[in-house]
Amino acid sequence: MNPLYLMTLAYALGILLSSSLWPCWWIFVALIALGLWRYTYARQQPYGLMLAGLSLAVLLGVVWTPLRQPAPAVDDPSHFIGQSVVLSGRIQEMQWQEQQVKLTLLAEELSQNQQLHLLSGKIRLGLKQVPLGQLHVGDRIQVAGRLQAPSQAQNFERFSYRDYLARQGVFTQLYARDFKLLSQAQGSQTWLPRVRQFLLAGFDSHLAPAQARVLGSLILGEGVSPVPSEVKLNFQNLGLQHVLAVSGFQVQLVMLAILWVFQKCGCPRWFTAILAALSVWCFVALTGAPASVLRAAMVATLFLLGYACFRKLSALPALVLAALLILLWQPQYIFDLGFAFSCLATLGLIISAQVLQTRLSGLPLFLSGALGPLLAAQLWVLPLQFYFFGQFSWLFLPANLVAGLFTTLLTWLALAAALAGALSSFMQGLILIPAGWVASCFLSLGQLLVQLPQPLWSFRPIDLSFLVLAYLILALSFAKCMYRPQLILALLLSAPVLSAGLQFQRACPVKVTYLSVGQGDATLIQTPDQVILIDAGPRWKKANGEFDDAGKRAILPFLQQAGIKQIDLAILSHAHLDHYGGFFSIAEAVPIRQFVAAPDQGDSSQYQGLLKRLTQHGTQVIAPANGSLLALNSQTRLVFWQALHSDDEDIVSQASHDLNNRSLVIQLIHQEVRFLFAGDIEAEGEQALLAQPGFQPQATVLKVPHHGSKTSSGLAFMHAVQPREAIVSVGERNRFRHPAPAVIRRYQESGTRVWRTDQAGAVCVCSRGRSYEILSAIAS
Amino acid sequence: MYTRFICMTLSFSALFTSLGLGLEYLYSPKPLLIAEAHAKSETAPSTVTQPLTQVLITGAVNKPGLYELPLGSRLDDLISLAMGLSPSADLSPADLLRRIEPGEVVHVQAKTTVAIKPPKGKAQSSSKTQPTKKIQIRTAGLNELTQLPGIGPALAKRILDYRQAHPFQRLEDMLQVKGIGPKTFAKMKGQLSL
Repeated sequence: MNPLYLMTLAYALGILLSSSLWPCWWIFVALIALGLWRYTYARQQPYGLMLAGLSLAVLLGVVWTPLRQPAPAVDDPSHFIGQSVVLSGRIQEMQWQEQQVKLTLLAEELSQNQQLHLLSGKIRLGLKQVPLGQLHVGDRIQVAGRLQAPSQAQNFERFSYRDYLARQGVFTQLYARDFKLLSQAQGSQTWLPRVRQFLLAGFDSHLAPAQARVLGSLILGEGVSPVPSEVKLNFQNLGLQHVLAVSGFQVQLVMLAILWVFQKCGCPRWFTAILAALSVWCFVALTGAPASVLRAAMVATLFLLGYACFRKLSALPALVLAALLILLWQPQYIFDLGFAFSCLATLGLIISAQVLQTRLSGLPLFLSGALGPLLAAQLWVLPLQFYFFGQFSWLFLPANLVAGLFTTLLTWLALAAALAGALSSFMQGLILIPAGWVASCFLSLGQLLVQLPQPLWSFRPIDLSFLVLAYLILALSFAKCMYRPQLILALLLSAPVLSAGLQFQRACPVKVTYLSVGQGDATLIQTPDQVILIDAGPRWKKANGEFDDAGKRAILPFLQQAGIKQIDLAILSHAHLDHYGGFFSIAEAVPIRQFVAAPDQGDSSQYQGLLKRLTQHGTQVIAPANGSLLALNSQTRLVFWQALHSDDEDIVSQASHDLNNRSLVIQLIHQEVRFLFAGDIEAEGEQALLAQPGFQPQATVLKVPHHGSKTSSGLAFMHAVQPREAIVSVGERNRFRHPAPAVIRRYQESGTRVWRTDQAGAVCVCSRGRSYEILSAIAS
Repeated sequence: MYTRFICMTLSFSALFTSLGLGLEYLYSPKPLLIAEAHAKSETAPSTVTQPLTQVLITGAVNKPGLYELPLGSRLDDLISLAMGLSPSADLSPADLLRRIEPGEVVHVQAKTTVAIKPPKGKAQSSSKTQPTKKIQIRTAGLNELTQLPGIGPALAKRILDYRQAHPFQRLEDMLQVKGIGPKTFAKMKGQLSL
């Protein structure tokens, strides 16, 4: 194998494993020394030199990555996180989305409590409802708000927004309602937005917005020309996201156009090459330099270098060298999904397209010619897609075949129209008429395809070891290697063994996950046979009047990640929106077999709507009797308690407190480990609960009643329950100021560990009958 | 020939499996804590090690009465057992932190200054429990009746309906109204007159 590939692979491995290999860097130094020693004494054998080189590459990756890792500087805005400030800075980057615009701001000044601080750091700023074109890169603006740390993976997700931003050197986030424009961008900085606007303005005036944006994104990418969210969703469901991103195709187009024109004019080669390279990098700047374009531009530059020197560059070394150069400049790019996907797809095109095409030679030529590259690119992207998203669109093949035709045509038309705009608006309009037809045809075809049942399959994302296995198999099946059949067979064999081993490694008789859903409750109980959900977090109204809920935001993604397709039992403690809100989305997406709720839960229209919706989906709604028992298996049982009822005579008159106190309290008993889910009961409910005949209050893990409010967790209750772990399910900075510090202190003083979902994220308790393990999503 | 092929495949496969398991072990999140289900007696508080004492609380709290508390509890804890302070309570935050003596009688003072505005919300419900003058059940209207403890608008309406048909002769006639049991009656008896 080419040493370049091996070195690049070793370097990439070093970057990926940098954090775990860092403590044993001396091993690699020793390996280098060993290799050099072997080389000096046995010069005929190249192994010594290869060993030294590979170790050097790994060591470089291991050492260079932390050095290039962005860290907050002394005057970074992140030192003011949690404080309300007035901040001014220059816009460095902009991303338009449907509802808001996301900016990267180079902070300059920050005033807090009348004190002025000078800063130099980046900040991610979200602004709502700014019309397209009102702000430009390079403008200086002033905003006010509270600086926040970007959110971490709250519920054991694989993607952490905080890490994602930190890789770009952004450590602070700010959401502002309004901004003040201090000064417009000056001179040199304005040409980018001007050119962009010049290219895109014509589209907007001649076409409907959706068509104009899709055309714009075909030439300049989605970051510059945002596509309406429903169109984007359609594209995602069809496996066509890559169409909206700029990639090698557009870069190639720009490069070849320049080459062709200047070659015809008879210019010298070196001059043409330099000109083409310059225009390629100008194009990169226009698109806002996403990683995929950067990769393509790098390859194009290498190709032009070869062109100037009368050398033909083969594709694979060019790609590998381009990737290596980018990674040497900034190792963090390897974690950029766009970069990884673009590299893998190109790699697939280069190594497997030809092979697949010959395999498919039985088909008609036009079909095999289109299918070969398509399948090759998709095959190499799939494992990574399965690892991160666990999604697959079975329509990708027909959708991509159709899209391939349309996008090529549309890109040419859009490019022609953009250039014609320079001459006359009339000519641009003339070109845009057929473009508009084709675009609307394309969009409505996509709409039609999405109507097919279940275009997108979601499943449990694959494990890391399977990702590695899949790429090993792919690499082996398209590359020559010693012992190839044995190795492929061995890899295929080890997959089921590995999955069985992993299942054994992670087996957990009763797993209880207290999810982090903001201000509200949601707990998932998993036993080998059942899935039980207690409460489902809040529901709220968005700025545009639509409802959003924790079910869609947190619980459904978690269910997908855990590979859960059905909820056997859903339990509602009481009918407050912060407990049942998420059931609206869950009922739509996942079948719920039974729904348990106390009968006397008031008649708010929203709650009745939920019950109606549940029965429509075939869910059985059950009211439990006080003290009733449900055996999950021979060692595990659930007990339902409702100490206070609406027909009790002496009851405090306030309705809201009533409902809290009438919460269903649930005990989950697994041998010696006991869980108590106390709903929102308050002092009265606690007293009544303790007085229930047959109620054994002791619990190992307690879901603290009423989000740790000061009206609950009375001393009598605490001493009766004696929890070892107390879990407080609260949202960050909630308006009720839950939990009360006195309550937290009271638990801690009596030797109970307190876990807050706003600080620790989701908390997962795995019970093994006599012992238990606790894991929180965010390590403190 | 085939034996060699199979042996090789199997050994490669074993190698890959163990590598995969090792990788997963390295990169899967480790539990922060592994603990036995039963607490040892010195770490967790129990009722045995903390003797209880009974304390009487009276005055401006929502539920005055006799409560049982562990020795060394703060006044704050006692008040939370007594459903919190009523709005008229006059207590400084420093008082709340003081420890309770065993067998103590706590009296929470009410504010002496007269509030100019009638207190809203919760305050109304607390004033319900202590009306100043007795209610004449033969003549009282809907509003007056609802001021009685345990009687809401629905029950008051029912009392009025019942009164139309059968005028009250004695206080105990109230028991005939559907929804008023001996317990409710006993609570409001002191505030009734004919």
